[in-house]
Amino acid sequence: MPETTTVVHDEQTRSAVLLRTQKRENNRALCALLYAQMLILSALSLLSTASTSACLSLLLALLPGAALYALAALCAKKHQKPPRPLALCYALLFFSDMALCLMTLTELVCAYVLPHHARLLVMLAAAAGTGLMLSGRQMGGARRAAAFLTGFFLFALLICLIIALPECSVSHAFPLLGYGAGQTLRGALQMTGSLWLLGALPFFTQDQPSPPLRRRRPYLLPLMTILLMAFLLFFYACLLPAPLLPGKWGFVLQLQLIMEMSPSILSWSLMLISRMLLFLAGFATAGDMTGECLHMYLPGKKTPALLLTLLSVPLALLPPDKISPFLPLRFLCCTLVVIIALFLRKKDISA
Amino acid sequence: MPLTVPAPSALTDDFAANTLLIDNAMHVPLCEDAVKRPFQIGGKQAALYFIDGMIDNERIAHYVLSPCQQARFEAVTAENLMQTLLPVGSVAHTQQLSQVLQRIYSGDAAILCEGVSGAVICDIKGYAKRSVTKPQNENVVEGPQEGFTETLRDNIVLLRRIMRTPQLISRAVMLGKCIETRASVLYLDGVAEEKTVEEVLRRLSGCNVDYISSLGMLSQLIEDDPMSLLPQTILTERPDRAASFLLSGQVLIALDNAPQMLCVPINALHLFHAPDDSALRWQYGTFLRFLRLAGVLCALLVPALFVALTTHHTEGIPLSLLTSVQEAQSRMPIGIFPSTLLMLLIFSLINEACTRVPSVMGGSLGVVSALILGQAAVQADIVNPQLIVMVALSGLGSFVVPDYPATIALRILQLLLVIAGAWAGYFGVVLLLFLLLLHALSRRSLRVPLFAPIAPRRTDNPDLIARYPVWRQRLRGYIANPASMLRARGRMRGWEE
Repeated sequence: MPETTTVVHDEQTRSAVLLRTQKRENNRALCALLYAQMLILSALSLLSTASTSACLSLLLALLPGAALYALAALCAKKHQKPPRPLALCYALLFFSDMALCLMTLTELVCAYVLPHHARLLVMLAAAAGTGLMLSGRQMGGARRAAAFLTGFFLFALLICLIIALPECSVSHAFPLLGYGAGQTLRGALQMTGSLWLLGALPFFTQDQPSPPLRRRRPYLLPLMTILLMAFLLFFYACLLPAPLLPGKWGFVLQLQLIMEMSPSILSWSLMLISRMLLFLAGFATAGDMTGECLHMYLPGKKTPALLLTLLSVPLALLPPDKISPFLPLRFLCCTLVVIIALFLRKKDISA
Repeated sequence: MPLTVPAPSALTDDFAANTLLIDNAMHVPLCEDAVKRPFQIGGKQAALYFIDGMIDNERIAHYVLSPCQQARFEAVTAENLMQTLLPVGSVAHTQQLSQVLQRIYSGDAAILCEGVSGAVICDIKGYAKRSVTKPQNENVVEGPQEGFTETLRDNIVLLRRIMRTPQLISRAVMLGKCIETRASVLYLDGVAEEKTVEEVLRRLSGCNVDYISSLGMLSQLIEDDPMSLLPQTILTERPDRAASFLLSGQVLIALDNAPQMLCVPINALHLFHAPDDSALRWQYGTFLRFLRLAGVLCALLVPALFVALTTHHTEGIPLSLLTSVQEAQSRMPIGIFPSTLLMLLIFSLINEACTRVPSVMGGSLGVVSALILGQAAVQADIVNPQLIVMVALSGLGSFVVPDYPATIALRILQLLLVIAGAWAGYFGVVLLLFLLLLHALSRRSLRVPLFAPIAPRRTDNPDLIARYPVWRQRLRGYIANPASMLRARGRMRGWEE
């Protein structure tokens, strides 16, 4: 008679499974945040600037991300506590993500849903609502919600593509491909850099290293990275707004590019709903992460979620056409993260 | 005089001092039902204290007073009384005044005797109590028809009749700082996690209130987030359901004077499970669960989407329906949004009235309110007839939820969603739903995520949304002790080749 087997049969395996699940959930939420970030930066024409310069792309995104990921992995492997100043840099990074997501959400809502409402009112309602819903003793609710909705985001995207693609031209469906493979690849490199930057976070926030459930497979990580890059490349080429569209394509229209081409109300509504949810999920996830980073920076003190979300409102009030000059600060922040991490690491080794 | 915590004080071997202490504490003879019965044991002065009506008069005469008055002892001691004199099942000796008083007011009798240090307590309870009847709020078609009563001991016995195992542990806890109420924490040893039990006991011991009147009150004192709209505990009045919770590794709290038991921790899907789901074939159970889910979605979304569509997205309604809605609406004095809010509130009002009126009148009130009032409102052009259909549908949907607190939460959410729909159309509804999801996924029940088997993913009994076949439910809930996670080894239909 066959014996029933299950992975959960002792305390150690259960905690390992829990940690793995948590990590997977974090990764899915971070992917959703990254996708939101990609859309926003692309619509703000920042990715286009980066993608026209290979050196800039490599310097600003890929290298810091890869270096930080490697450093974090090294720390985790040696069971070392992450340096606290890193957490503050991460918090700043996520805080700027919060403001970006809130600003984009407000733009979408004011353009399509509540055209006669003041931006400040919509922004305050979204920030207060999210802050109130996130308040509680447990962190991670937003990441859980974002991870929970990733299936919906992909489903909505797929449905919209199926409906909209036959109705629009190839140049609209694949806006970036018109600029050549080189630029698309550089754009993808930059996004992979961002992915690594975010991917390093669980190494810092995790209290204890997750014990391996099964034998490690060393070939899996590079394979997964290649697959992920290919996936990102596809999305980047297929869905992100073209960087040099005529002037009539404003920030909001760029976000809704494909759907603007389609006369289908269903796909348009679905796309708009999924985009709004994506930015709201991104806002909540970034808020959750900011709270966790601040908690790591100041152990024992918990920043109220409502305070964080409301604090992001003044920053999000900047109009989209004025925000581009400030965005390199984000990359400066990323570089700062790496420099601090390297400095502290060196100090640690010398000690 | 305000309620105060009784000062701890000990009884000595001085009979006069002891009786004076208890007389003062029980307000004898001021309090008419606090009885002091003086008598003699072997020529020594003694006194019996009890509360009139809470003890069995026949048993006290036969098993306490009669043997004591006929006893011939050289030296009366507590051991003599307990071991040779009193033919009562449960006797105890204590010197703590607070314990003596607590036992007397629980229906026991206390004997004080000259030369005996402290008091001897005899369990001769005999107060009036309700017999076991059908559960009032958790009706089933198949399955047992017994429900808990207000007596703690009877409730534990009902549970023990189902769970005939020494692994069922019942740990006594006294709750309330001034007026104590007996409670029990029940769990299956080895199946429930030790840390869960310890956490329950820690929270119970930290309840710093003068008196706990009900399990609902207790629930608010021990749950993780009392400010949340979502229930984080489940009350059940069925012993079979309580037993199934125990088998899943959950912990039950029973309280004296409460005809239910409180289950912690829970996951949100438990709120939508009916007690007889597992008694039915899995196909039927699955069908009913999906029906329930559809009911919940109806209750939440139908009024909100009706308002959103008719107010903001008229292009989304079929033309014939839109025409009839607009045509009817043109005669109405108030708009669709305020009339929807009004109808939902009236529906809740009718429901609350039907719950509170005597059961004989309840049915008639429902018919009068729903049919006559609704018909009259439509004929008088006060509300849209389509709206009545929508509100009735959502009302029916809210009734399919087996958990009463969850039904109320559903009604409040319904109102919020209608407001969001009126404000921003279906985009508003979706955004509010996301915020609610955010809220729900951030909540915990006794430190366990409320939506745990789904978000975050956990290895769990697959009987969550669909009713999984019984012979494939190999795992207990993720809340259970990992060592006891497996319910059975090998095939559950072991007779099959």
